[in-house]
Amino acid sequence: MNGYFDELAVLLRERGVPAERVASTIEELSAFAEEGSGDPEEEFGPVAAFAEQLAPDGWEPCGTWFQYAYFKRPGAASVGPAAELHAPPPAPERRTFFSRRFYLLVAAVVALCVLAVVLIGISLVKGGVDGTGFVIGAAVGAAGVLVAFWLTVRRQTR
Amino acid sequence: MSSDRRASWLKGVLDLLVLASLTEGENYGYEIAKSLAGSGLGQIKGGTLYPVLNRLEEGGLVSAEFRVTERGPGRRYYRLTPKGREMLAEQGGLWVAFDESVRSVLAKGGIR
Repeated sequence: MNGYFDELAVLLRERGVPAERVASTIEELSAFAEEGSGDPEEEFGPVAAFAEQLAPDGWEPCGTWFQYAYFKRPGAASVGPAAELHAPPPAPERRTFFSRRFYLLVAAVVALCVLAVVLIGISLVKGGVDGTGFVIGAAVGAAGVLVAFWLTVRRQTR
Repeated sequence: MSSDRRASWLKGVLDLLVLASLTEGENYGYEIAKSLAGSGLGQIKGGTLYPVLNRLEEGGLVSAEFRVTERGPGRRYYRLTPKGREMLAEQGGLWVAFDESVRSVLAKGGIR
């Protein structure tokens, strides 16, 4: 009888169940077996399978939301200060890392913009139209984009 | 075959039976099993009952308190929480509706 519960205690501890909880569980289950058939294997089934049912996969409860229960791995919490890195890698100098494809995209967009401005400029000059309104509008639009970009960068670097 | 079938029926409803048995007040594992056996549900093994109790506790449907007595072993006493009571009312109602549907179909087949 003790062999079964000793093994169960070891398995539960291995699965991250706190020692106090393991002790009270063993005491409770021993009493249950004594009042019942007296044979723990008969009462609870094979010890490994029972440990798995009591502490599924070493997960422990960390909260509930309506009928959903959330679980976490106990390791992250129990390792504590020992999890500190002794030789952390240096912080990178650059804040952003864009891919080559991103630079290609930026180059393509800039080329298209330049092309559009040139074509519109040519058509305005050829058509003899006063382009002041268009130029002011384009300048306001470009300034808006630049301000939005500047604000985003400032927010991210804080 | 018939005991397998009975075991699967029980599996689907054991959590509700445990919650219902705790409406009269707190109780510990062995007494819960005994009271369910007394209702004609047959003997419920610890290997079936405790995983259910654990799940109910983890879900906040019952609260458990381990108490050591001067005489006899320590026991974990389970008590229904307001959330458990709510769940029992809701899910118990669904089970009763299911039971009524089963009965009405069986009655058409001449089983009463």
